[in-house]
Amino acid sequence: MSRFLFSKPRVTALLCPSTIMAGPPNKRQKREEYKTSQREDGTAELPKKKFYRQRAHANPFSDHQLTYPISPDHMDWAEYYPAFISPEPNPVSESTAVPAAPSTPKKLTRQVEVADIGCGFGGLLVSLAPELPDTLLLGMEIRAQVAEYVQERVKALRVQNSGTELYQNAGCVRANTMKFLPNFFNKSQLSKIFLCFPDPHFKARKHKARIVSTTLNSEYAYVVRPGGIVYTITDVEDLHNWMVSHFDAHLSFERVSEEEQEADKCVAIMRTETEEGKKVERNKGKKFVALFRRIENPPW
Amino acid sequence: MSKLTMPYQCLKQCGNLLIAARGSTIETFNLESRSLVSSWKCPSSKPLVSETSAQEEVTAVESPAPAEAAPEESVIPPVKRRKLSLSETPAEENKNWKHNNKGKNHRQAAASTGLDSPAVIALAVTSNGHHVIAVTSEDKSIRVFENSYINLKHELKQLSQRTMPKRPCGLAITDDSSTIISADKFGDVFSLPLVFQETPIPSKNETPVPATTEADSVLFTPAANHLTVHSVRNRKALENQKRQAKPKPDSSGPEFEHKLLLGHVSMLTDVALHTYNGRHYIFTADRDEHIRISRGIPQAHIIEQFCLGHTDFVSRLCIPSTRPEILISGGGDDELLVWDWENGNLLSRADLKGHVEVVCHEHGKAATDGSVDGLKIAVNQIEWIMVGGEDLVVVGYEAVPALFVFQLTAANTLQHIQRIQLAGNVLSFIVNSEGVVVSVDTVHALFSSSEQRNMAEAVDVQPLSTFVFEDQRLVPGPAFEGAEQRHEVPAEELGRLGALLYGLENLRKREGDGRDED
Repeated sequence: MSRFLFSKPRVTALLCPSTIMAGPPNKRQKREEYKTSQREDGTAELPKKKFYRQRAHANPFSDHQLTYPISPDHMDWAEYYPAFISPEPNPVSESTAVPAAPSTPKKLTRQVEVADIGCGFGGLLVSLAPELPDTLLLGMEIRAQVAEYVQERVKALRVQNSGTELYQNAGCVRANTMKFLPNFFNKSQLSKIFLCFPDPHFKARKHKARIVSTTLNSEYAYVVRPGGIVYTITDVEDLHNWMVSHFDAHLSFERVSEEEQEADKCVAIMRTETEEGKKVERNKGKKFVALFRRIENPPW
Repeated sequence: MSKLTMPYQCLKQCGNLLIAARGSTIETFNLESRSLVSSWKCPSSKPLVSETSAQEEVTAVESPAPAEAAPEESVIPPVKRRKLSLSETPAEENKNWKHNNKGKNHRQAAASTGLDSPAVIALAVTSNGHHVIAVTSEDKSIRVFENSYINLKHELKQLSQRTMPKRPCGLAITDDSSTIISADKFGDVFSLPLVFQETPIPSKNETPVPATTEADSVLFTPAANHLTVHSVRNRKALENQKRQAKPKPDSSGPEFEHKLLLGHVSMLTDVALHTYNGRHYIFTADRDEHIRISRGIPQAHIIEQFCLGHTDFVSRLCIPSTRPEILISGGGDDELLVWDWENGNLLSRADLKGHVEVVCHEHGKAATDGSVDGLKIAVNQIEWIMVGGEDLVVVGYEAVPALFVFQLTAANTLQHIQRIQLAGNVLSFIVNSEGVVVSVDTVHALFSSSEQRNMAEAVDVQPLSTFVFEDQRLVPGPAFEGAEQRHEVPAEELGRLGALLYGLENLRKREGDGRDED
């Protein structure tokens, strides 16, 4: 959890010469070697985090080199949830690996209903998947390396548990949800969204980059069905207050009561199973949880 | 030497008046007599030595709204200030920009080319025709004008000037002519009352800061604590931060009445208001291919639908009045899209690129122009009009010297029916049942947004051309008087003019932009 309190251009400038000479090529090379060996094996071995580390911050306003579907209907979910491919339509194109027409992706028997936005290394995702076996869960992560790690992790877990349905319902995409959430999900498609230990963006100037804001909450309200729940957890009290005040201010959400919150099994998992949650535990930090229910749109 | 006529970057019709923005001037023509009736010039704001002093000057001249002078300084976010401190003088700024030429920050370069007045970048008129609203670029201001007649002589009288937190890109006025909807570069949509009221709103700043007398309250209390930061370096930074003095409370926004309606995490390009089956809607388009349909005020926080299908930026939205159930959109794609917007369904696509290529060909220009990706087109205006019982849609492209007329068929498809060749690139146009008035670029070469045109041919080019409908076909119409006056365009302003007239292509995402820092 590297968090910027001050910008530190000078420090990085000092570090630069050494990193240019020795650092990245070596690291990149090792990473490449590791990944090709992984691919050849295709084993049940879990990926090693050290080969997937990436700077903890990504600029949500930059274009990156993202791939995202033109619309939810263009999204090909089949590669993420192969166990859920609907058997009925177009059984002919099964044999060829090349997707002939990307405009007609294979249908799944069910839709993604739970999104973990900013899933990081996927701790919550893999703990939640066995708990919600009938639901498709999607982790969404903006950092390419980290998203790839989660994909490998899910693959390995599926191999480890072959013969069972375990982890077939978990998937991960690399995505900038602040820009492209509606490209992945239709209106009212989701029943749960998790926002776990988001980047706190301490500086006031960076608050616009926070994952919760009055304007972004409208997009969460769009993809979450009435009755659905947005889960938030953070170890930064200031950010917790920010998230609570912004969801409270949004007319499409209401705060879930303390009792109901503590009765939710997802809350316990969110507290203990996320990578950040464990880290905060180790450092004896506090965790602030808040849940918000999507309420029905008023008539107009 | 240079006797180039300054072109009009933006046209709007207001009753029988044509409102035409020409650099930092707004000229008004009578559409019937086709003659110039009045002209308004944006007051000079001197090159940026210090932005704040320049702005104070503007408001001093402008005094109808003195209450605004105060917030302006505080409106400027810290980011901006830092940029300015990099280079004290405009000349230096220019140099800096050239040195680290990332080809990115065109605006900064534009601001340093010795411009003396903010240019008008958008116009809107109220449906009752009483008011004209203009956005001036460099000072990020929304200015409201009244069409006033003194001794039967028309005059645009500025009623107010309000500086927005970010530069507005799109404007719309509610049907009741009471509220301005402004969409900005940062993705936010604000509503503000048309008529600026002096009575200050209960300001956030005036909410009494809890009067604490404790000594330690002068110290900064960081949002982080030792439980939330772990690395040695960040711990150290935190310790330093705790010793710092508390920063002065920053006022977070302008102090006139305004309301945040909705926002995209993207640059907004257009905003349109629509009423259908008695319900109000706000349509917003952004650089990341989205068209969003939100409920109108006061439920603008509810998103009803997205129209997703563009593969490049969306730049213009158009809703035909005769068919309120459909939406036509265009942008950086090769096609125009027609939507059943209520359900987010794509109804039809109309090829545009082919028609533009024909124009290229006729001008002897290779359509590919040497570039690998081939011809790139960007829609800069879409207008609908009903003529003789037929729905016609007129489309203009950035840096293309032609207008294209389509017929909207009963099946909601667009059929190309006419192409009008012009003497220069189309900048803006208005359409009414009589015909079309189009602003033609007098300065730049055909198909170019930067190259200056040949002097000999430039002299004959009129900045305004007119066409009239004859059996649903457009034929050349009579010329405007008063538009041909020579407003000299100094050579050093050409760069700035290019940026003012041709901004859309910059919206396109470039390969390698924002690459991963991996």
